[in-house]
Amino acid sequence: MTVEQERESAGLMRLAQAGDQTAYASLLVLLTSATRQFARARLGGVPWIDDVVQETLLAVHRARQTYDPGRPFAPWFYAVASSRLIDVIRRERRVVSHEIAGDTLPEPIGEQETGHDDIDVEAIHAAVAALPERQREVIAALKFQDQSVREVAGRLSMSESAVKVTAHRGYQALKRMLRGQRRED
Amino acid sequence: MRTDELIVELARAAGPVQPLPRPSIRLLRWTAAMVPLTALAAIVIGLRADVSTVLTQPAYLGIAVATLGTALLSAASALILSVPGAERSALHRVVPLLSGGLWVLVLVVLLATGGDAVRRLLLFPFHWACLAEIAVLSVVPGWVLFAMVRRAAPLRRAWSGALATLAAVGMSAAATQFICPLDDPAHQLVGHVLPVAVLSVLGALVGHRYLNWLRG
Repeated sequence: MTVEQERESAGLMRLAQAGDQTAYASLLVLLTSATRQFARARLGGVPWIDDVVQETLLAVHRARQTYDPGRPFAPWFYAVASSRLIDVIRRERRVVSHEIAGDTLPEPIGEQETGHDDIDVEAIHAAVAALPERQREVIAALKFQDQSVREVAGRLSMSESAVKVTAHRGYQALKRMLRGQRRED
Repeated sequence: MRTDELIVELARAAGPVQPLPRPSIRLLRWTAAMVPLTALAAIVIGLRADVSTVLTQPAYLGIAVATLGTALLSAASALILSVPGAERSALHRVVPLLSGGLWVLVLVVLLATGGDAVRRLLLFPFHWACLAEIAVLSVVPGWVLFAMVRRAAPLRRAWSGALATLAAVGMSAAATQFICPLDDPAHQLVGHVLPVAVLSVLGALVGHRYLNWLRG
């Protein structure tokens, strides 16, 4: 953050604290760019830079009352950004360690395994249709249209890690739904 | 959600906020409210009979000052740590611990100069009444300080929790010194310092869990 940006950010934050939403939006735009640079300098070109940016913006929003208008803005902002960066790195490591399990769509449950012949591909399609919109889009793209995580992320304007997390949650929801259906039957 | 959508949402949700007062002001407020409250609670529990006599003894006063100093320095550090970017060096975390170390050092010196130190310590002169007083007297100061810390944005939650707890139990240990009639440094180490240390470690765990300001 340059001296000029620092001064501008401090001024915008003062206005934002007073309730000026336009100034606040300008500040967040400025911080988006600063956070992206900050994260790229430390992480290189990882595909989840946007996660760091969004987490930082949310943290800035929640902590904005702690900025003291009489003090420099940059130390306050970078303390928040560093903290979010570290948390996102930790979360990404956890996601990667669960990725293999999360990558597998539950197979149609066969007669041999379950003793039921009435849960089939159609049941899975119905369960997918009942998922929340974003999970449905992600799973349909990954599993029915054979798109890669990168393609889905690009098409839905999500980060790759967000696609993986959404897919993982969708798979868990599908498992619960299909188990529930078996019990009902 | 895309970043530009997030910005629009956050800007739409942002009303005016009152900037938090500086940590020094917040410390003054906490101290001004909690020192008299803790003193009053100690009086209600019952001061030791010879309190006016012991107040003239330098060793007794030295211990009281070291204990209260540890409490106030810890409160200051907890409040500073709760503001992003305010903590410029590790000194803010180390100074309260050094002050606590001074408290222990004074007691150890008094214990050693009193003779038969090891035997007196091994007798483990611990009394549940002192632990109960320290715990009870620290509830309100601790609760208030945790609330003040959480209202900010503590980035080091475990440290903030430990220091807030050390502040509260340190203050209650200083008050307990005016209630407890036992001046033996061995008792003070085992019955006052040890509970303060254990409770502060527990405070770190509580802080790590409950000072997550991002959860809202």
